[in-house]
Amino acid sequence: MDNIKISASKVQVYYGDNHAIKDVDVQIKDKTVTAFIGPSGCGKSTFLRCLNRMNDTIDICRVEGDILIDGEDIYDRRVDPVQLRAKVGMMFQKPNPFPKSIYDNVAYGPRIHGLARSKTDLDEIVEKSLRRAAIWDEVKDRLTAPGTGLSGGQQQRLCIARAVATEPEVLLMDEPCSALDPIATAQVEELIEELRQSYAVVIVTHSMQQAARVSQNTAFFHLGSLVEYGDTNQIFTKPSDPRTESYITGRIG
Amino acid sequence: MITPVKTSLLKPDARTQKRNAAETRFRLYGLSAIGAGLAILVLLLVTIFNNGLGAFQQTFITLNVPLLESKLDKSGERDLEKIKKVSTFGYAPLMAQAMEDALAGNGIESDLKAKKKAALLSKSAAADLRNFVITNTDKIGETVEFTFLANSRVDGYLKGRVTRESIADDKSINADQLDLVDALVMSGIIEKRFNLSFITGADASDQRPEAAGMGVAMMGSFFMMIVVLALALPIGVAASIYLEEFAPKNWITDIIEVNISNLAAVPSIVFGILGLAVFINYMHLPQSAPLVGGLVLTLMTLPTIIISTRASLKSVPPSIRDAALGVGASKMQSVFHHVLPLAAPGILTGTIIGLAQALGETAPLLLIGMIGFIASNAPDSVASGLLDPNSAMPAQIYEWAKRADPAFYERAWGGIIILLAFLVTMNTIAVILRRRFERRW
Amino acid sequence: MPALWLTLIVLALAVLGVWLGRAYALRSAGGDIRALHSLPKYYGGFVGLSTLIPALGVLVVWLVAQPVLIDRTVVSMIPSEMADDTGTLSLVMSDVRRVSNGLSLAVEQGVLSNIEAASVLPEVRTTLAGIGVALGSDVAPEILNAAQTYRTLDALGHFWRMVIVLGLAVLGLGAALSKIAPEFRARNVVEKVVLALLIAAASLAILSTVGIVLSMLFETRNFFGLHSWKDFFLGGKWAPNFRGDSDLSILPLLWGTIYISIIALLVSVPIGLFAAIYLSEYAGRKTRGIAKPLIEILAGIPTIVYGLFALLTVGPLLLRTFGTDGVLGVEWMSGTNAVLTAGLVMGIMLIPFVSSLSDDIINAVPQSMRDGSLGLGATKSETIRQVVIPAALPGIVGAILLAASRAIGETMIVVLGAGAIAKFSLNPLDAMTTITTRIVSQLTGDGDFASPETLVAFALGLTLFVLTLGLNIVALHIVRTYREQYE
Repeated sequence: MDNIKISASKVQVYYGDNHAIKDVDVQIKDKTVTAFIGPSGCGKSTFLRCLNRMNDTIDICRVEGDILIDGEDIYDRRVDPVQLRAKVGMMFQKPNPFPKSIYDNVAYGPRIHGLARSKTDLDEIVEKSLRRAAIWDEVKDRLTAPGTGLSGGQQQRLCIARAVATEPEVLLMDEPCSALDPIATAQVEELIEELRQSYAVVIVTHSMQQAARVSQNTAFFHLGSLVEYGDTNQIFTKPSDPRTESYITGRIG
Repeated sequence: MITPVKTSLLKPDARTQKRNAAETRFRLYGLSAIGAGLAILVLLLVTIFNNGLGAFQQTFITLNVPLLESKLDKSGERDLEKIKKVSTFGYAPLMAQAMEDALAGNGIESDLKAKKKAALLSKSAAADLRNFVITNTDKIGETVEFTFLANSRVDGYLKGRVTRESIADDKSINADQLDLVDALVMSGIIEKRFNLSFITGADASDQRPEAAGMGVAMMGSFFMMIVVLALALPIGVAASIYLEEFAPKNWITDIIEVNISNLAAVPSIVFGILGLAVFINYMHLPQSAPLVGGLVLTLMTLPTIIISTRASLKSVPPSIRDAALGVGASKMQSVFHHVLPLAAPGILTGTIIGLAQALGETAPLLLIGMIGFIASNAPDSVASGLLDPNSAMPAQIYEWAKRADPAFYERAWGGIIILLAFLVTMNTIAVILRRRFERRW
Repeated sequence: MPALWLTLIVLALAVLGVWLGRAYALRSAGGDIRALHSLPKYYGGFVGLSTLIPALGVLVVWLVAQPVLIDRTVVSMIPSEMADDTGTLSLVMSDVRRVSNGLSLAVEQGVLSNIEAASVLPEVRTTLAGIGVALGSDVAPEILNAAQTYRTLDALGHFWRMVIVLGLAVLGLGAALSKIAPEFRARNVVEKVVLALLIAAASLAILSTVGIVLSMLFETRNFFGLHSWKDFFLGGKWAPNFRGDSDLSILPLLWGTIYISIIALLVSVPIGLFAAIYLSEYAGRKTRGIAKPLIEILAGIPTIVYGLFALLTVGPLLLRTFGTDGVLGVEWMSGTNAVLTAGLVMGIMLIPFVSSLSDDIINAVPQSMRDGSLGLGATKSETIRQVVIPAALPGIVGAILLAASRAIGETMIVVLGAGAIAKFSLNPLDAMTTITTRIVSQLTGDGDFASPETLVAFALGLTLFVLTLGLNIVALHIVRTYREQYE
């Protein structure tokens, strides 16, 4: 396995006294979609947030163990989470466009990271990102309209455009479709498949069908531990752990 | 295929460093804003206590006064009416004599004229002595030890406010008198000690800052608070119950709600104008009366009480109301038997905070004439407490702040300490109530 | 105080009614509570309320109406040449009242008999002076006549008031008792009455607004009868002169008010806003738990304290810095009272106001916005400046408007710190005056209540009320719309 992008070993996460993630080891491949599945409260979102240190914003949260991206420990003292997050973009459950225009939403990341040298540059980045997020045709005539005025599915795709605009190497998606209707969900899933060409995508999802549809690798979390990790097809057809089987057959969760 | 590492995460690039510096700066702005707020608070408190604590100490002169029968009761009949005929001028020679005796007794020599020596005493000293004699006629003929208030200049000298430099143009005191004061302090005749009458006494005229006290104004405030409590609490609670529990959602209710939130932000002086126009000019209620002050403050406090009462009614969960209605109680019964008692601590807390606000309010009182030095005695009954002209604590402080003699400033700051003591007590009670009875549903 | 006694008697009757109602109800049910529709106490309550409400209602209406009616009758008796405009009329009326009260007092003390008091008295002034009622001038026969009518009408009114109020109380008591029967739905009636009382209490809020507006509107109309409105709104000078012919323009006062408010906002908005940002975005729970209440102490300090702080601490400090012989050696400031003195202290007063409002508003911005920005690699301060603050902007603007309205209406700080000179100046070290200080000085002076110099205070008050009300309505509307956006 030579194209490992993220490698985590012995990761422990504590919320105050609560041991939320126990001994998680996982290797995430580049240019692949990796799905985290598991019942609510199993720690999959928490683990995802460790990958770009979003947990730093929660005072009582403590992370132990090693998480390496391209061989560099992201919890090293010298690492600036700001720089890390530019490299590891993140999207959230509910679409959260900023109360700004569509253009400014997408341009936000490039602006703060100084990716554009000129206005033309920035225009190009915005267009490219919106095209990548498959929303360009819908919004190209109203780039100055507020992002909050779009429909839910459009908002989520706008957030994807916003995330890819910073040229990340990894995209983390925390249940990106849970607030969307089936049509919007299908559009986003299609998009994820395309994004895989350029990024390592990690997606947390509630829906096993979605995991099966979009991912190549799947990790099953239960009660804070990683139960099983492997090829998606294998997990869904021949799970090796009885707990995984119970979950995918609907007996727990 | 391995993606080539564009940048190492372990080495922050120049841009990130710049952004992090901006981050630190921004954080520092916030921190210094907090620091500024706290520094101002400390400065304010230090100023208040530095300037005000002196008011609780006063300089007294203890003299042995011969209450000569020949001066005070020539007929010797101890007839009160006749004794009362002796004015304060009749007492002045006795005090002058007492002063001479004290100087002689302690071997202090002074070239000052007797009048200048007696000027060390407060201008109210003679009146104090006269009051003492009138209540203790049996002491006439004896020599009694009497503690007089010292003149405010002497008091200021002992407190460091008045110095030998500062009195260059002062007609009321000169350097020789200060020499005498020094000698008297040495012999223990003049001493500075706790001054209870600042807390209990009445205001005094411009000439006698040393005699001025907060006590009567405190009574004025007290009676106003009684009025506010008696009116604002029931009316406020009744209004909140209606708005929260019974009011239908229509435009009239909307208007009332908008009205209440706006009333809470109307400048207090406007309430003063209302009080002047309605209660005094139209209804002819007595001017400067705590009753009128109380009515004005009631109108001002009402929105505060309504807003906090509604909040605490709202925090009682609907399940309680449903439970009561479910066993066949009427809506009115469910509110009065269940919701109101559960909301009571919150209502009480809000009321105390409203009262504390009203206690510190000054502007409307000025318009209805509740300024200083209008009541020289504490009210002797509830009716006189409500209807006789009086002042209130903040208005009394304002009055002192406006007077020319800096000796009154010390009293104004001292008055603030008393006022703040009341406010701190009230707010502490409110906090304790809230902590103690706070319920999480 | 006859009205007080009347109230007490009615209250006593009501207590009696409560007891009787209970007893009657129990007796009508033969002592068996279950036979009654409502609990016995509701029957008692019903009788008590029937006694109390009509009687006290009439009493209140009477108290308000009688002076108006009597005044109207008496005014018509005063010859028109004695009262050619509203100002002198109210002077004459206060004379009438004083004479009338003096006559009553004289009768009370036995100096005059009732008949004497109603007859033509040549020496009214000396007679009344004898009992301590001092009159400014000799009493004209017309005024004496009017005063006597006033007194007669007043006595008549008091008598009928007593008869009708007590009559209604007894009548209510009797009628309510006669209604009591086991099937009478006392609880429903009592609850309806209580509901009506609750509604009345809620309407009081409206009533006091109406009172504020009417009382000021009425006197403002009088003022504009005596003084040109053009000068008030458009003139450039404020120079009251108690011998008449004053320049009374609001503009210089408005300028002082606005200038001081601007300085206050310049102090309070940055400090308050940054404090709120730090407390809500950076501070840990412990820091927040300590710093927030400490800063809010500033809000609980009465304004008189700030006034004193301005007059005795900040003013002298500024004077020592900018005044003659000051530290800077400049002579920019001539007295402790100045726009800057008042503005600085008012700014301090507003810090907790701005910070706690902004704190609430910043906290209302959803966490997902912050996550979105942080997830893109923005620093905290970038998130705050470019996402949180723009999102919270409408709310913050509302909070600043509320603070501005506070600053405009603040009285004690400017009374003690700003000065009394009305002028248009840009120098913040000059003493200037404000609307509120002029209201205080015009209404606490010795001027008579009919002169434009006093009445102008009501016009100022009304302008102030309209100004602050407008700001509040706009600000509350903005804040409410803002909150609804994130709910």
